[in-house]
Amino acid sequence: MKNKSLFIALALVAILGVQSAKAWSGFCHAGSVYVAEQHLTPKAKKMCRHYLKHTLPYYASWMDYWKGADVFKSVNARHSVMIKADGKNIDMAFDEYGKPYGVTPGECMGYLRDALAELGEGKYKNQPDSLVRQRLVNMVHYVADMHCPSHINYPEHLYPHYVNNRQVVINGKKNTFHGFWDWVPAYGRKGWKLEDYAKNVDKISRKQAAAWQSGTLEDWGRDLAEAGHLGYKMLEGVNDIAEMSEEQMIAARDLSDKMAMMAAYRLAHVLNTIFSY
Amino acid sequence: MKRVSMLFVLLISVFVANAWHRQCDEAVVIVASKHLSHKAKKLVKKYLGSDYSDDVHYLYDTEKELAKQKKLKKGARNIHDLHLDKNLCPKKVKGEDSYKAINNSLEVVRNHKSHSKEEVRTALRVVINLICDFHSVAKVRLDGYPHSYKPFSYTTQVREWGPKSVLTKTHKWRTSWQKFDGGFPLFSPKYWAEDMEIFIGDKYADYSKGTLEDWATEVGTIAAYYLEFCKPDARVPYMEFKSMEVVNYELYVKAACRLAALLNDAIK
Repeated sequence: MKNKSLFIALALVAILGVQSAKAWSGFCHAGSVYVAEQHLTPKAKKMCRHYLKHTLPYYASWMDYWKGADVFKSVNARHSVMIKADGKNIDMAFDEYGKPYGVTPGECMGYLRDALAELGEGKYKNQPDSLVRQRLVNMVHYVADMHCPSHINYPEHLYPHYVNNRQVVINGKKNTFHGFWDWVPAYGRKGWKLEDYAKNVDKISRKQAAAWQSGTLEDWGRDLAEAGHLGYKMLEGVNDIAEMSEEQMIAARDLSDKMAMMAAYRLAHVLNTIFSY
Repeated sequence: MKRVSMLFVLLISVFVANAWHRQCDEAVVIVASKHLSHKAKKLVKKYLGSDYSDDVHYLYDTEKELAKQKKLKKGARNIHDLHLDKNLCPKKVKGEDSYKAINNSLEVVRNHKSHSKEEVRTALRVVINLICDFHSVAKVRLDGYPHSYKPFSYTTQVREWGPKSVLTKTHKWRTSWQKFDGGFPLFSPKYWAEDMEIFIGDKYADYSKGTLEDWATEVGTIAAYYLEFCKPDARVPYMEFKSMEVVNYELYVKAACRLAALLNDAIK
């Protein structure tokens, strides 16, 4: 009986969750979220910790950790955004399957829009804690994911050469284009902790931060579309990273850092806005 | 005195387990130090100095050194295990397990005035080093669960749904618990401690309530739950496997609160 009660308790705790740092490398998830946390207002930081009972980076990859659980299937199918046929603007109406946003789970931008509508302007106060918590957990992951070059999708028939799962060998092991962008943020940074990452990468001017944070979600989408093109261009014709020069590797890591910082400042902006009420 | 000598013998011939990740152990000590009473803080400082982050790895480092010199004795590692009987109570063991070693060391700390500086210092280090092992499910040796005494592997589904749901992954019972805390390799001990403090919130009193024996039974109950289906070559349900990491985290937090409680109680 004691064991049965323990099981129920454990199952509940399990659903409430934990994470491990995977996917767009620990740095671009945990790292960018850590930077975001440094730029929260005291109130926003307090509120986030109130709902999450953890730091923000603790949940940076929570959605990846629970990706395989059936209970989270509905929110976890894909963590990406879709760019319109013009290749410049985000498609806020339809996802990569041509379905309206919200129908197929896992579109970051549609989720962000819905979460802002549900929690913004003080509405979070009227929502159950569990819902606010889950929205925060998902946003923490999605905002970083949507800024990752390999999570930015284009219509396949117009961009047939943009193959996300194209093979790219990394350090002699089979990997993919997607895997490259997961791996490159940690390139040359062995032993770094979150504090090291923030200290070395968060050198963003106030002016730049304000520019990234301003505008609509559609405006943010244009930055993503541009980064996605650049991401594919950087690895054009590369089948093995051994073919890349040190300058090319650093350029790829710089792009990754830039997008991680963009994600960090935008996440901070979103959370500060929500909890300004 | 005899106990202290025995402890020294053990320490010379021992090491600390690969147990939990070093940075997590450090975080546990950082959290515990924040909950120490003024008197306990003063005494710990007297014997270990103000920065005792190195002391957290004392047994690890001793083991490493002895292994290098090929002086690590067989069975020396038992000090990191927690031996429980069928009723989930600590049982008598030859030599020391973590329960016995912590108790013996606390006795030295309690009577610090009648021991040498080195003895008290070692005793403090043992408590600090073993508190995480004591809370580690992988270190529980439980009567009625013979597989808890030896290493074994189990499998689990990679995913519960989709094409990958047919795939399985093999895990080693002992190392899989150690791997969970590797999920946050980018967290420094200081940041880990910050995260733990948020998690503790106002639950410090709850977590630190009870005796070492109660806590042994608690860890044993959790171990028994998992050992029920984590058996050699068994297929562990996905959600149960995932829940291990959550349980592991909470045990870390409890280890931190209880380390403070034990030292506060011993140093009055």
